[in-house]
Amino acid sequence: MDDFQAVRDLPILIGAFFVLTAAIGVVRFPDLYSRLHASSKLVTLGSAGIFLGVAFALNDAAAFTRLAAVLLFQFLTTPLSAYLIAQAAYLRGLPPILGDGQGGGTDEWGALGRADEVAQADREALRVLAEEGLVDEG
Amino acid sequence: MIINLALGIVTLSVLLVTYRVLRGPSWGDRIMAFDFLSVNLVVLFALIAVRTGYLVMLDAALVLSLLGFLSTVALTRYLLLGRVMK
Repeated sequence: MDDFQAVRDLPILIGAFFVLTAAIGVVRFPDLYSRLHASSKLVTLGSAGIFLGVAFALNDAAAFTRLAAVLLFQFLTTPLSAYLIAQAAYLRGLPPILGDGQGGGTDEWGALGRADEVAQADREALRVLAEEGLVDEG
Repeated sequence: MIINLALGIVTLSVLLVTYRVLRGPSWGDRIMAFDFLSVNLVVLFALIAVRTGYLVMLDAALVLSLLGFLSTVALTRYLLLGRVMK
């Protein structure tokens, strides 16, 4: 590490750590919604760190504008694509794991008690989509 | 060198997530892992730009991030609506 420069290398190291953490979360978490949580949030932070470090390492105006554009675009689109995937999977009937997955658990937000209510709202949303001809029933 | 270490870590995460693309029980998992891979490839391109000094890689990263989001939107629309366009 003879040429270690903190302002350049520290953001890259932190970003790489967060990207690896996101990958481990995507592989290890139990259902789609928690995996989306890991991938969208951690990858946003990790790629931001790496782009910042790369901008300092290249130290060039053209590179800096391109990296800023990529970073802004990632910040705009990563939550949006996570939302789209979660919405599509949920409306297509993939149930989230609530509580501890065996019907127990802490139920901190009262989600287990409102499961029927939520399912009713989902059926309503699918029915509205079907009336507009956007989705095939079922 | 830190860049080499970061390249190795990001490549390792790409390999880990490829497991989720191949295995991932539902289509939502595959689309999510695919989106993750496209973001990771953007990061990898930025790191390669530093490693080799080819600044053209940053243009490739910009285009790849645009295309990655577009393909995610198209895939989720296909999953939800059964078609991509009206």
